[in-house]
Amino acid sequence: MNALAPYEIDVRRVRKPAAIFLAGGLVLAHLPAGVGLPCPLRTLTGVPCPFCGVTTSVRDTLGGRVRDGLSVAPLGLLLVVAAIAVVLRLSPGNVRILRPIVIAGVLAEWCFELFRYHVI
Amino acid sequence: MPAPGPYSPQGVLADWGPRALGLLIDWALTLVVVVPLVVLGVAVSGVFRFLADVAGIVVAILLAVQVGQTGQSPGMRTIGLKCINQTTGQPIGPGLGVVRAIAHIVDSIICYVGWLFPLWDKSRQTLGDKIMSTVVVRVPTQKFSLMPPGS
Repeated sequence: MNALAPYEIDVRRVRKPAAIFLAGGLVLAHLPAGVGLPCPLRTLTGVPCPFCGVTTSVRDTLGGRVRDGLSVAPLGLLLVVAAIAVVLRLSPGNVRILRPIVIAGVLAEWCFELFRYHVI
Repeated sequence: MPAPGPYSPQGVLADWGPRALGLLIDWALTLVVVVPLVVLGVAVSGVFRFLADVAGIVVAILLAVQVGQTGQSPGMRTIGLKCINQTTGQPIGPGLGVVRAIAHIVDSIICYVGWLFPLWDKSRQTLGDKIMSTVVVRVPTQKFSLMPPGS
């Protein structure tokens, strides 16, 4: 596998999951906080993973509290926007993202979470 | 009739849904063994709780060995899935089957996101599959059986 080759996403295939993701987020926005699976990495080590806080962020964003969502995990807002674009067919059918950008994005989100949890 | 999925050199790649279903069957199988021991552990003696942990690990290893040997666990046989090396098209062997099961820890450790990868990944691989260079393809379904036919 070429580490620099673009990562391809067939957007047509993720349309249904994106709709389920948005619907799930909307339901979550009306449930009490704390509903969800605990992160295994954080449970075992106390260190958050790059995706910690995304569920909360999505819940806050879809509940109309965008700033709260952003302060928990910016990736959540990005995912909500991407999911809306996919469901409304505003994105191209096949998306190619450069792997270094994906890796940099995940690392940036992880740094954000490490900072938020006072690990760094 | 739904259009067939994308092809790997070895066949039609399995979607996330059937893969999740196969995994649920295997988990159910594990729970059938573990839950009674947990109940006994609570009601009778803590020894059963320890036995439940051991039984869970043993069942997980047995399932992983089956996947390595034949490419299929009981759940995968029932749903019609086969795990193969993405280059050779052959099952990866019992030892690597166990290593693949361990590699799935990576899928869980990051808030379970790795398990969702087949939803959007071109090769429909989890992160564990990527580490082990395996793909899961569709094959004809079989009747549910604990052990591979002919074993």
